[in-house]
Amino acid sequence: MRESKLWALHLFSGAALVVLLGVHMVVQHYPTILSWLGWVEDDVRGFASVAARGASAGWSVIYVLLLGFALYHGLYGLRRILHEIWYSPAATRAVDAAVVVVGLVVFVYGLVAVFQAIPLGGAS
Amino acid sequence: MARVLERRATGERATGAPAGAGGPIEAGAVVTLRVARFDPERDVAMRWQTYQVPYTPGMTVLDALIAVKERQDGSLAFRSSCRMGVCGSCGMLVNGKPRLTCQTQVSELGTHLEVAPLPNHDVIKDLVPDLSGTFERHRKVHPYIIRPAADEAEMRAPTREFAQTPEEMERYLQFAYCLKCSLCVAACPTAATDPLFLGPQALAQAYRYIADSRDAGWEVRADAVDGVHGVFSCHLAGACSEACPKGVDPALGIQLLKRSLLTGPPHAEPAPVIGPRPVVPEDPARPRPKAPPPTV
Repeated sequence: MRESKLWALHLFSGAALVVLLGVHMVVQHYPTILSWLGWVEDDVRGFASVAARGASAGWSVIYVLLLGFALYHGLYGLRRILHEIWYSPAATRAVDAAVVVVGLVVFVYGLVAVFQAIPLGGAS
Repeated sequence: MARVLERRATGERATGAPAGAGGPIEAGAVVTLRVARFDPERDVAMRWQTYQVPYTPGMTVLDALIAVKERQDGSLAFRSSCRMGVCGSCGMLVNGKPRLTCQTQVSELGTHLEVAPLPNHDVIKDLVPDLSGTFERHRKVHPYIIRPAADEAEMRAPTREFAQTPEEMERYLQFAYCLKCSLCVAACPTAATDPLFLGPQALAQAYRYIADSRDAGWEVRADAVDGVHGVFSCHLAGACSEACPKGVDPALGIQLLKRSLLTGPPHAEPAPVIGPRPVVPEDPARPRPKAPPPTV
């Protein structure tokens, strides 16, 4: 894939992270803003609230998107730095392969964590 | 301690010699030159040598170096040619900044000068950088007008003109002033860490040609610059634009090149051939004129 496409996705993921992290920060850490929006919850970081969000399909989608975009954005940035430090063709291929493998492994692990929360939420 | 060069100058200043304050210098004042010396046949590390030359009004840094070479040390090696800021061969690191020494007045910098070879280049000897890497990277972006295959005969034996409006020329004109002096490469922080980076000179020239309305070489140049060590390695430090002695803005060219790669080429079709067709029938016995080779 051409570098321009990877870079464009990097920009897009950055913009998406602003939105997704904004949602995360407001819900988790700014109850005042939530109350302005008419969402009053006693303890948004309590077990019941977290489990309920984990059981929600909408929240699961947000978590998966946040996981994917954050992983891509961070690993792309790391890859660019590593390419500048280790610039030989062999090192370039090795860094690309390592980034893909690490990204996939962490993404799958994250998916498992997200979807394991659904029965947890359902049980609550 | 002198820094080991390993044939690649880094631009690190040796002892923090005073950068000097610009301003009027009285005739008869003495200019102190700390000059980096490196002979690949004898030295393993750069060393510094100090010379003193009498100041004369209008003296450039190149004049001071020539005075040293003519009267004090004939072994000092540096490169220069036109002495008027056109050929781009006398680029050196003067008081920590890449400059054309023929354009740099001593009075701009004061009486204490520190002169070293251009960073991010191998050193051939003393103040002579090896510019072959810059020229190789320049070649990689196909720095010449590429026409569609249908125009091959016209390119081989030109008979007419290619249309271009003044506005179309403005899109690339500033980038066409590039001297290939490599000062921008010397200033580039990415080139300092990644020797495979195409660099500001080549990337700005890639944009210069894709922005040219006569050009049809978008695909081949996109292939050349859209790689791991290509245009997206630029950190946008802007040091290249600061360093350019001709006012070219390579950082702008790089940004426009990035935009083109994301949104498409600046023009859809290359400008057509215009003008009257030759009315004189070709004489098969007459030798056909040869098109000049593309300049690099």
